[in-house]
Amino acid sequence: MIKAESITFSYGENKIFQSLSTAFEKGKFCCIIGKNGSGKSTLLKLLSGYIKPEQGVISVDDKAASSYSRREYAQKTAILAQEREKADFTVYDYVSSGRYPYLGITRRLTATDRQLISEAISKTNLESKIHENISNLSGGERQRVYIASVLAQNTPYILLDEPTTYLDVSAKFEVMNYLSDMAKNGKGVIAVMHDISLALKYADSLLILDKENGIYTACTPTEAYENGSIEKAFGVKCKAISTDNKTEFIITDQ
Amino acid sequence: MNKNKITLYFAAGILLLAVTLILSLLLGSTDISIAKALSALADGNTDDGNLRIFLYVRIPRITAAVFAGVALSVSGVLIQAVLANPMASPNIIGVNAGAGFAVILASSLLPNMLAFIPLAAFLGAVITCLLIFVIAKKTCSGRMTIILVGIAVTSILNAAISAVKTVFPNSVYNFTTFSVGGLGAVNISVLRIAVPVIVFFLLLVLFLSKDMDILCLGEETAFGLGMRVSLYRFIFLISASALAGCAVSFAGLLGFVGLVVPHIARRFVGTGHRLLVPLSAILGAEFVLLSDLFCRIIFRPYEIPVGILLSFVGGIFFIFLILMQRKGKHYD
Repeated sequence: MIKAESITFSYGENKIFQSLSTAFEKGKFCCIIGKNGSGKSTLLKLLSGYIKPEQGVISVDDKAASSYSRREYAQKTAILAQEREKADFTVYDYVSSGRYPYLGITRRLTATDRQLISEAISKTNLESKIHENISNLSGGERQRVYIASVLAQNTPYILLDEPTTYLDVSAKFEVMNYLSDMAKNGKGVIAVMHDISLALKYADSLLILDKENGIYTACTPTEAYENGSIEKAFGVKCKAISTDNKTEFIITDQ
Repeated sequence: MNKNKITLYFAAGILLLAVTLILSLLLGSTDISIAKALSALADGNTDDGNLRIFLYVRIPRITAAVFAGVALSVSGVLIQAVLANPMASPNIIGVNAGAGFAVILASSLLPNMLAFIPLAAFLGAVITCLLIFVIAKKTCSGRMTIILVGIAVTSILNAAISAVKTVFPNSVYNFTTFSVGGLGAVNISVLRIAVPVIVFFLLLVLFLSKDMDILCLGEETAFGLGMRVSLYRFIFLISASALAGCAVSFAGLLGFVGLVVPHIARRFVGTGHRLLVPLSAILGAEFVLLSDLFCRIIFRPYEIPVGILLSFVGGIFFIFLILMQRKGKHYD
């Protein structure tokens, strides 16, 4: 479990979090949602160790994040950052970068590394693309490559910052299905999402950041609908529609 | 990437370099006979004109051209990777000028300590490189801003070079050639120190090529993969400075090699540094050696400093890069 306990963080005068406490479990797909500037990406950076909290403790599997070495922490959590530098790597080379935390001093891939890379490529249906340059792929395919590299990292927890940005609607569903499957296979998947409808549709749990009121709500999508958390945090209406024994949520402005 | 194609690119590069090496040995302001030179060497006739030109003019000059090309192009690869800026190179961001200033200053203040020249060049390059990097980090500067800062720093350092030259007019032999970059008056004592340093840093960079790939994925991603980003950035900047500084110490302010060559190499082998670094080294050596040969024979028996040709070609290439960026084409 990743735990954030009494986290306080600010950018200069801009206080982002005041005593935020929450937890993320393995085998669950949790989406972090909130308005622009509510601190979604900041929370992900805190969880990944990229930035340090002013106060409070982040722990992974009951051990403080600060007590892990960089390599050890990268073997526990993988992060898919929102902004990635343009790199003209082949799909195979890019996915193999996920094995970096495990490489020895010669930086050579072992048989285990190659097997995990192949599995990640197979799970994301990229077998036919392994020799292609990622800059020649579509947005959806490229996102699958990024997810494959995170899978190859083989960590119990995966952090993703807006994994569906810039994707068309079918690619968005495809990516969310991958993430949902990863959680079903035992990974703790934590994703920052702009698209509330997608978060409500796929997430096992939500963390709603309401910076204006200093409220951080952890709940299931159904609870978020029932207790009106979405409406309070975003100032929109959330409606439930039942189809084929499933409840779907839609967001409207009325 | 197709392995056969990669083998072909490397084989072609090495073959081209070998041919240029042979031509560079044979051709120049005076044609020499290698057979006669070797025969004189076998006979122990050290007064033979062919042998003397071969040993004391051509071989040092060719060695200097090859290692200047290797050092500047690999330095360019490193600087472009660390600054995540395809338009950066040692001469554009002022690293060469920093090394040049240190060389002029050391030559003026310590005229009898030639061995100190490469170290001074290295220190000048390191300080300038770190200065540019700190400015880039602190101001979160965009790519064009870094280039503009580099131009400003280069301008200041060039003024400082001129000031030192005014106070110590005899500090550097053939200052004009030094300021544009040239291989006509290579100091063998400096070369003896600089070449092993270049080889050392080239091997280090080759050894760390996988780490350079990871750094190029972006700071947050590299951090997430367990990389100690600041440490590796520092190692790569020191390596880039050492390589550029060593080249400046014996070849003067050669421009644009570090910009042009990495771009050409990327067209063949992509951005993976395991292939990009060695191919850039081969093409860099070829680029400078061929340019120097051209400058030696085009107006025979006179010659022009190779830096003039490199700046001419590199300047056109730089404008081409800016135009491509403006059009939104990422030519890299």
